[in-house]
Amino acid sequence: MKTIFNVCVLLCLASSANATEYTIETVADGLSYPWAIAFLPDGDMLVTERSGQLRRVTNGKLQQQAIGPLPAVYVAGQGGLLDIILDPEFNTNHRLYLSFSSGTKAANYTRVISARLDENRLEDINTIFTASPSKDTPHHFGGRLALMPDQTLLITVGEGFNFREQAQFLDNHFGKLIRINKDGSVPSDNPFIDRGDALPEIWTYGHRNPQGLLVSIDGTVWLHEHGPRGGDELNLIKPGKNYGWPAITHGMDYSGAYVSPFTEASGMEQPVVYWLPSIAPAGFCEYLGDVFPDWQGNLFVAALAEKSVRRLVMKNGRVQSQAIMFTEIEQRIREIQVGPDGYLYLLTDSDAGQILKVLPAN
Amino acid sequence: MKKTRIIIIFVVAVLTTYLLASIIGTQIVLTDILNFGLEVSLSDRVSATIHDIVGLAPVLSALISAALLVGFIVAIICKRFLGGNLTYWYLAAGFTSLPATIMLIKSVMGVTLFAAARTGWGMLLIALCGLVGGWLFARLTQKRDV
Repeated sequence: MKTIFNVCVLLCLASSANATEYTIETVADGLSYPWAIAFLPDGDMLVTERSGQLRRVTNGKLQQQAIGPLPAVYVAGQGGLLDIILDPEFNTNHRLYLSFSSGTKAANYTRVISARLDENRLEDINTIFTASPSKDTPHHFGGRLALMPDQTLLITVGEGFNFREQAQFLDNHFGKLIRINKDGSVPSDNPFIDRGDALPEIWTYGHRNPQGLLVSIDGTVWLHEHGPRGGDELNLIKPGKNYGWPAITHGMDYSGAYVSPFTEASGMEQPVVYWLPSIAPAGFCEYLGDVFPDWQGNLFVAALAEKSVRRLVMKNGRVQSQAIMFTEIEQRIREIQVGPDGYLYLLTDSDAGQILKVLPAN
Repeated sequence: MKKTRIIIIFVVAVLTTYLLASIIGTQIVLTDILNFGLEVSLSDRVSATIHDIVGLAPVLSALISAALLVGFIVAIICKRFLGGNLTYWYLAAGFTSLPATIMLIKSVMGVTLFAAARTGWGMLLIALCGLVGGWLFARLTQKRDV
């Protein structure tokens, strides 16, 4: 591993000045738009590439042979192979969950499978969720996954860009946070399960393109989503709630017109934080390691457009302060996760994507 | 006809098309918001319309300028090689050039940047805005052809 940065970052906290020294090492490079990372019990890492491959990194070395076979992945625009998470019982069942875009240019959708990892092969592949209806745009797939403490699976689905109004209606999966069981069945306590006009998998609605999903150690569910031109949001998720898109937003359409002239409305949730201008939030984690004690309990948001990571200091469910970090990398950052070793791992978003490790300078 | 006059007439046609498309686009978006159950007052409607006329100017006026310029040139070529009434060619160019441009952008970028044109009805209304622009251009440049 080579050290590429050794910097002292002055964290500009509203409450107090704080300094944490860190270095950033390159773990692996040569990845094609890496999107998500999972840490195997044996120390290996699995990385999804949006271009459609699932790769393994062993002892800091990217294995040439991709893991497969994967179902057909529709790779276009923002679509491709997206998130990966391991089952909490991975040690015994070797199961993992993958999200990706599937279908064709004329009819594509977000899909989630579960599979068993056997060395470098995926076996016993089951499709457990397919977003409906299909769409003809290669954008806004969402695709983030997270497991709840009750072992239900959360899935973000974007509104497909051209279908933003559908985020307000419950008869489709556009712009929704989905909750299913790990076998694809619907939990009996989902909020809209008794409504005949709603799809039973829906947990929350009114989202745009959520690419950050986090179940905190205390069970709190956080979601961040891309706004249009401005208006990226961090939302505190409560089942059955409407998060407003596109009826209310702090963002503007790319054309320069209003998406909506309203930023608040009765029955619609306000974001905990919104970002103007856009930072393009993509990845999300909560720091619970002991390597960086100053960062304990902070939320980290990877940002594509800002080419940074936002460190959010939380207090009572609110963002007390923010720090902009890792800008010296000067790359779009797709994902941030805490490894089992307590270090932070970043994925850079490019056709020469890297896995970077953040560790204390000393 | 002097080039300067043709340019001024073209600008008038573009501005008219732009204003109509912007105003209609805002009403389409506000109708969607009404369908979500929100109240939109007359004051909201007026301020949103003015906001969008200003906000859309860089993108939409450039799109309409390019679309109508190509459309009118094609209309002149069609008149020369296929004959017929130049006014009708301008009307056809005005009606088709905006949808064609919007669909071309979608085929390249995958998305429809002008939100009002995402539905069939929205696209038809935008096409009618172009038709007015084409009619105006024909009217001011080709009065004797009407």
